[in-house]
Amino acid sequence: MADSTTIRARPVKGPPIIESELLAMIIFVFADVMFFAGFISAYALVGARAPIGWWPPPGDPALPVAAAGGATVALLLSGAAVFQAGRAAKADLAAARRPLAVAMALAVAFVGYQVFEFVRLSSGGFTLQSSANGGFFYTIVGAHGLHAVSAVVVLGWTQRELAAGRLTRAAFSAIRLYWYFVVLLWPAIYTTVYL
Amino acid sequence: MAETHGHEAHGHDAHGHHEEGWFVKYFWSTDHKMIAKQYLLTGMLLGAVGAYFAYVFRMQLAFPNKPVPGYGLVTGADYNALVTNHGAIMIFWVAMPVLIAAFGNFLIPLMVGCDDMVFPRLNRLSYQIFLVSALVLAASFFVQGGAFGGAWTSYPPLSAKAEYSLTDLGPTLWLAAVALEFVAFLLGGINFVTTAMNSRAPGMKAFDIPMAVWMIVIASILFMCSVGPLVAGAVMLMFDQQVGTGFFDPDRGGDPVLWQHLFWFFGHPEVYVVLLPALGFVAEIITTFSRKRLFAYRTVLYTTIGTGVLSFFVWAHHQFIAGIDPRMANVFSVTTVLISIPIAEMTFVYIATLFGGSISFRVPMLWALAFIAEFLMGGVTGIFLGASGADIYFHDTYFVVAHFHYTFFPIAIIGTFAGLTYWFPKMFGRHMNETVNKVHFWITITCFNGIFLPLFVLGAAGDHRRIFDYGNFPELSQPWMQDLRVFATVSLLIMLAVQPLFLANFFYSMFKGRKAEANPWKANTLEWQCPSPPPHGNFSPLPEVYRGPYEYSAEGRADDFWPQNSPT
Amino acid sequence: MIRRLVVLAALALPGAANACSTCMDPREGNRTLLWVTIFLSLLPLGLLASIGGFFWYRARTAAAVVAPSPDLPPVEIR
Repeated sequence: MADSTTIRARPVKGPPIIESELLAMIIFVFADVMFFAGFISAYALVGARAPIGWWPPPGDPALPVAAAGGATVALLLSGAAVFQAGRAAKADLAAARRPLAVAMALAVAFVGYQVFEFVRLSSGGFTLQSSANGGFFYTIVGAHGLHAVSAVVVLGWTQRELAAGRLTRAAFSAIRLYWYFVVLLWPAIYTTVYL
Repeated sequence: MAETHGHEAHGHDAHGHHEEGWFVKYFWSTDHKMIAKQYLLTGMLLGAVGAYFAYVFRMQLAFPNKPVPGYGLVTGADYNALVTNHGAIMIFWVAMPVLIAAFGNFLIPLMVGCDDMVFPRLNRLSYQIFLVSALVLAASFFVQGGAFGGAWTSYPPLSAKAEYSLTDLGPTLWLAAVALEFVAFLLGGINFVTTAMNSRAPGMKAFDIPMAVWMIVIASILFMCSVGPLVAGAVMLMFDQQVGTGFFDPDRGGDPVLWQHLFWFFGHPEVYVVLLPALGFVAEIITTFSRKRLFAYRTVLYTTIGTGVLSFFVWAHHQFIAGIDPRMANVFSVTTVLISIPIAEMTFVYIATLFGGSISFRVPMLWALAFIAEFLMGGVTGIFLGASGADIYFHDTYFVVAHFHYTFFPIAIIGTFAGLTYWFPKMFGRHMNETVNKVHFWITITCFNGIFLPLFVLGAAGDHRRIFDYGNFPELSQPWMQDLRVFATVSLLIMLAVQPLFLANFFYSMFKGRKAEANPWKANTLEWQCPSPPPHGNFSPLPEVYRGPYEYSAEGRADDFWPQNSPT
Repeated sequence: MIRRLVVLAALALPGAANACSTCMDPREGNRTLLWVTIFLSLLPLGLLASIGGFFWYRARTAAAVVAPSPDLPPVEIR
């Protein structure tokens, strides 16, 4: 380590490579991805261990693949709207407000559909307790749904901060990252749980 | 950008130079040093609780079914609850908060040369959630049926159904406490990583970061990577307990071994999460007290990263007898034995650092050397358990107990004492009494070996670790075995008896000790270049870094140390 | 001697040792546990690698932006 003993020039502090807010969100999303990976792995394992023909258990209703597919499209569109918001914000942060409003409306529609589906399925006798399958369905989809609800709240907060002109670019990129996470997680859940 | 934002964010509460009220200063502070002390004192208090539990169940093992002084008669359920919570407290509420949270909070901003964490209010929230988690755990002792007694690994079905665990709310409160504690460390870890990445003093490049900071950061990242599946499992287990789902119930299509996978996917990296900070402290201490550069800084760093990577491939060695495929057990045996390579390498690096140094046996140095020696024992005995064939015999015997205490005691207790005695002058601005600390060191180390060496022998003789009264097992209650148990318990009693010596020294020196200068050990790292104790904002002006952290005994200099921030 | 021969024979026929009644995969050929294990073990490494790649990309683009103006006086940070 010859370079360590040579006298260095006066140091200069540059900007951070990843802004702190974005880095914090990256770490959080990281932990959250592992959280859902745990659920999905558990679901796959329990399903694989069941006797042939017993998964999903015969008494459980078929999941509404097509309707949930529609909700998937809505969620993906809202992710695209947030992407559009990020592009619009490059020139002017305030220009992000309109695409963000679209994203929020689509997210609300997605969450509303999930609530409707939960009520419909559970009134048909398919509940957390009815089988391991039911437990997994409500836990995984519900955990994602809670993330979506929190993301809607965050989008609303973002609108307010944008209107007040207080939002920093780093915070905005962190919020977009969180929303991409919630959106892109859903196809993984949809393909494992519904299909 | 983030820097300025950070300053604006906490400019109002942390760095306004108004006089703070007593409550705000000690309980609502966003200052990283105060939060570190909160974590430290909470961890020490819970450490005392964990030690008390150990005292009670060791007394029961040595003198079965006699009332324990200070507790009373130990029932089977009591014994299970004490053992369970001893393990949980010592790992989740002592090792993690003291080694990572307390020292991480105290050291990272000081060592990288900034005024506070990037997100100070997140930091305060982290401690508050941690405190709540400790209170929830304490509450679990006062519910109907008593505290949870299904071992700190909480395997279902024992933990999933009240008819097996004999307590309805105990397991749920225990799980809730663990989950809250994880949230606290998630917030804390986010702070550690962002601070070490973005708030470094100008000039501090990646290889100028002190090893302790690197180790805490890597440990935090490991924690983030591994904790998710366990939280998912905890949610599922809590649903099994309270909602009536069947995730872990084979009758209803569930799988009890699934929990073991989810638990140990976190549980094994967790070992390295607490090990790495202690290794970092040892690196700081042995370089300072042998006046030598750390041997092969980059090798240590890459080795640490390699350990972290490997730690994700070893978890199933906890399930060799849980019924996993033997072919898979072979793979996990190999990875488990592989991970001893980086750890052995680090031991060799530390010995090479000591080699030819001018060693001074101050108290922190004694603890650091003891760490290397004792952890080596823990590592070597782990090889027997990592081999799936030998593990089938050793599984759940006292051999395992002795093995992991030979790893965790050096980490959590020796590492903490090393760090505390080393950084005490910086934390509180005063010196501890060195003679008292030396007496405390020698008695503690001797008694530690006195407790756990006999347990290796007992374990090799087949002593099962989950038995509360050996009277029912004639082959396990032979006189020589009982004698070894009594020996271990007496060692524990002596060890516990000298801890008040350290505590008295600690609290006396905090207020009345000899005043410490800024750099009492003549060390290089940035935390020693600010006043002891550091004021609000730590440095004025903020330092600039010109060289690596371990430039001791450089040729052509009058001093044998060369602070990182000195331009020439 | 006979015991040793039996052990040697067992080593030559590892398939016979698979008669484990509690194995995770009661049905021979079901590799889900293996795939899930590999998935869960590699996922954190993949995530870390992608973050490292993002970091490297950011560092490179930042360097490209800073590089054209080396003559500017350094900003002093106190």
